Amino acid sequence: MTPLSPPATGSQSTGLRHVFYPYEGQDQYLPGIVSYVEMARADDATVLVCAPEPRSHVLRQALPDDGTVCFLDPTALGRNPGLLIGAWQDWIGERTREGRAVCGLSEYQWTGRTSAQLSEMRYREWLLNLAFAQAPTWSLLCPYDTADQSPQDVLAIARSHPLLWDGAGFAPGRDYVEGPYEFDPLSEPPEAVEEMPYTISELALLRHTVATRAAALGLSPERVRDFVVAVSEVASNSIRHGGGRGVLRAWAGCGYLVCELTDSGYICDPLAGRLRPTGDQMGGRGLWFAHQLCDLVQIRSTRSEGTRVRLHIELPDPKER
Amino acid sequence: MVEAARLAEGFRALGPGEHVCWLVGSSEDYALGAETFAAQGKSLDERLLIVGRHPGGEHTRLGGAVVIDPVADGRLAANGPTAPWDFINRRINRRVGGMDVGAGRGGTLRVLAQMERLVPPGCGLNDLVELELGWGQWAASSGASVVCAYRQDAWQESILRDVSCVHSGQMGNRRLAVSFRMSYVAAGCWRVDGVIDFVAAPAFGTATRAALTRNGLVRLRFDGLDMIDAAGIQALAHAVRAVRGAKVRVEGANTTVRRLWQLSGFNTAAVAVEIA
Repeated sequence: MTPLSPPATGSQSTGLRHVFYPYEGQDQYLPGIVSYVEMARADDATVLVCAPEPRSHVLRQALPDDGTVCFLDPTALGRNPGLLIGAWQDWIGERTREGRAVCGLSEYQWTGRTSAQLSEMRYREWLLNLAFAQAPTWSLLCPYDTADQSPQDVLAIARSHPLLWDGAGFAPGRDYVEGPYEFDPLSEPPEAVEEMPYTISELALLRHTVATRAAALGLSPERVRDFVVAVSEVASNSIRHGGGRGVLRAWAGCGYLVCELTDSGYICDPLAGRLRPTGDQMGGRGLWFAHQLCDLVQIRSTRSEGTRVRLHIELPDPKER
Repeated sequence: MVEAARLAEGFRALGPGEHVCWLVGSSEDYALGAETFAAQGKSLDERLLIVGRHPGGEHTRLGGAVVIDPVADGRLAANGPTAPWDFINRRINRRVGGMDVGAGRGGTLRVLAQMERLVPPGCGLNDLVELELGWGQWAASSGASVVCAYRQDAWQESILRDVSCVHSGQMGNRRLAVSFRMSYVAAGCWRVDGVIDFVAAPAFGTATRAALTRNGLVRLRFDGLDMIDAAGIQALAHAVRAVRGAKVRVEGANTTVRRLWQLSGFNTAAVAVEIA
């Protein structure tokens, strides 16, 4: 490998250089990160670091404190993978508009997640390539500790990264799959599922049903409102773009209330609802709101089978209710 | 007789400052309602104004009601839809000004407006809503109660649904479900109650734009707003942009509404909306 600035992939001349950094354990982690940051600083780039504690603390100790490295607040992301693209849009936006090079570092908590969250986190990594394909050039390094992960899990992440960092230089990601993305199948809902078909005539009833269920499960009035807006937005999309009707299925389990809305429509843009809307944009805010208001959103959409959107909201601990 | 009794009850329940949309089934229903309105007003010793056709013909007695018919006066065809409001204002001042409008001496003034005699049913929703905001403001500030009668066979249902949102209530046999209402509170201030989803968003945008056209700076009280969605947020932003120099100050918004506005992309200096 050659220790150069991350190269473009394929015919790409602008956009994201999305780099996978698989490492094994703490000993390998820090030298590779420091090397990446030094390379970025040599290129006069601003370094943005988004990492959860205790990683963030370790990096603050190891990286230079001269203003060239900025630490971002990952709490803005919550546990929802759907918020990451919009957050990076905000973080890099101002700097790249000023014409400054940006090298990002994005580390996530992969342990302690539900399978649905992990599935969406992997998909989000793939979507990053699309989201920033037309953006000014910047690079994003994604460290991933392979120590306790299966080869299949590592491969699942690697396939979303066009580039590889080995701690000293870049290389093309040999496992990268440009597309189409192979989704994990959605988990089967439990048997006790509340089901409700809807058209425009039942939209108010649907909102009432969801609000009642969410409140009964102990969600605060604010979270109930958030969730009802999210469900209403998706149901509205069914009515306006998905054949005029849909079916709601709702269930609670594993600490979440889940509402699944299906219709016969097709969402052809994988980035629908993923990017922060601009003020002159007509429409397209409904799914964006849903991503921002829920704790997890899963979307599966094909021309042949229609669209299925699952909205998850975390329930309060029953002991604290 | 049942319908007459129901109408009588509806008219009796009207409080000072109320501005109600009466969805009328037919011309006959309107005539019956107007007679009921007049008879009841007379029995309660209230002052009555009917803006519209003289029900039953020229020689029908309508108690002590003052009748102003814009069509008979030749004003409707000659003027745009906004002009009737100025016309009515002047006529009210001239014909009933001495009646001491509002609750005071001689009881409350009640107004029945036959809307197709005031505005051509083919007119645009914008003009109609602007006119209704005028009625609502006049009713609230004068203490008079106003019933706006819309014949359902004369107006499109979508227009009736949207215009009903800028009244404080509905009466009549076949009411239309509306998800939100925008009602006058004070000078330049309206309260918005209910739900603004993609169905209601166009009407909300129209009403907000009409309010801005009348006032420039508008305060919208969102204390009673249960939900607004992306289409509603967009309608608000577009309404403000459509009126040069206009500004909206949203008051009493819950945390979800605030968050949606911040997320919407409209939260910039280019869109003069302040979420207070």
